[in-house]
Amino acid sequence: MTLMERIMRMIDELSPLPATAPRLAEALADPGASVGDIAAMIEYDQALTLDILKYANSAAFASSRTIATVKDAVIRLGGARILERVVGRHVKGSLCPPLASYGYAEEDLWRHSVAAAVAAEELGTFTKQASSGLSFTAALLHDIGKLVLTRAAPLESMEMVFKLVFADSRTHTCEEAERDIFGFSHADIGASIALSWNLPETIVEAIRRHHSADPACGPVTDAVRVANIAARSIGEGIGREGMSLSADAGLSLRVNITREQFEALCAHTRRRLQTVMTMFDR
Amino acid sequence: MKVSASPGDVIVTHALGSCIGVAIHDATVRVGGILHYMLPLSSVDGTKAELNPLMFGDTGIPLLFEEAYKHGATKENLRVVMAGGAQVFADNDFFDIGKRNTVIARKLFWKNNVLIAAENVGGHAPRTMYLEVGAGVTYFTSRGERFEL
Repeated sequence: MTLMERIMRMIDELSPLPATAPRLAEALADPGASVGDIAAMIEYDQALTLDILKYANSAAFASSRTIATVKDAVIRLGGARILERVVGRHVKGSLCPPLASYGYAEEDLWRHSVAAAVAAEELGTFTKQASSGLSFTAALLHDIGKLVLTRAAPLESMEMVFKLVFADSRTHTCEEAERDIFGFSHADIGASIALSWNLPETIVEAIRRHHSADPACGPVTDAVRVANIAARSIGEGIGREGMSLSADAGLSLRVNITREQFEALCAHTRRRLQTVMTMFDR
Repeated sequence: MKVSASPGDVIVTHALGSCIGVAIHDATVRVGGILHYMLPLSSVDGTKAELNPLMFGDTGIPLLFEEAYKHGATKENLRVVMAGGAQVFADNDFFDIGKRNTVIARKLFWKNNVLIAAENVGGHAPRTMYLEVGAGVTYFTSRGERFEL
């Protein structure tokens, strides 16, 4: 079996996302979708209905008024927050184990993913632009391909990747080294996972191109790029790569933030990380 | 931040990417400590910076020194080293917090007449920094290799 076949098989074997998740994501990408539409999708899933009602009434969203209907829960939480909870709880178990090839100890990849998700969401508050409800989820999943690559690829091939990075990290970021060795990278694998989970193209593209220097990408992709750098800048996901990742020259202009705002974004992300991580506890 | 006067302690700070580790040690009273800060200036965070001054170089570094003084260390006897400040690979320095973290430490030390005995900053590789409190030995490891400071 070739490496690619092994990867495709592993993707097929990943436990599928709850069916409501891609439908919710589609609704969030559609400006015409109403609170009623989103509530109807959730009501269709009994387990999710119970979970969302419990979540809306939890201390994190404390209010004197008890939330008794899904529609009220959607109003209190927002559709994006519900998608984040569904996807986050689904992938948390997969992203927590250590990934030795990347130098990640237990929970390192999970913490990096949540940090990037928080940063992607926070970015909207700095740019004063309407942030897409999909940025958090796209950033949460941006490195999920590492999980499959590190399990499918022989150990010695992964070592060759890091030999290239160590030899000259100016010419080889980790993602570029993966492309040199395998012909594809963890970003491509992550995009294939998102596709197999029927997530919308916005998320698939953001995962596939989160390391690309191509400026012709959508705002969610740019948000994930900035968020990935912010997460590393607060020390989450350093692993063996360190800061070996690239940013194209126009990125800061496209997301429209200043240096100071980027640093403030990092500070906010660090402060919120622990709280947001509890959002995915069972 | 951790400061210790126990000779058997080894203070370690992991996963230094663009963050900076500052280690100080007074060999006379055998007191030492490490600060691991993430961002250069607390002013970017407004009043919220007061909640976590150790996150920033400009507020964290003075606190590291003050804590060592409480244990009997003196400015004259402190040996100061720093490591970290790794940089993102980019065409401009917009996202280069590592460089700005390095500059703020150098500025603060310069202003306060503190000599940096050794430093290893920049590049892209991750670093883990160690301080053996009893012996005053400071070093860092990066990608499996050990480097003295």
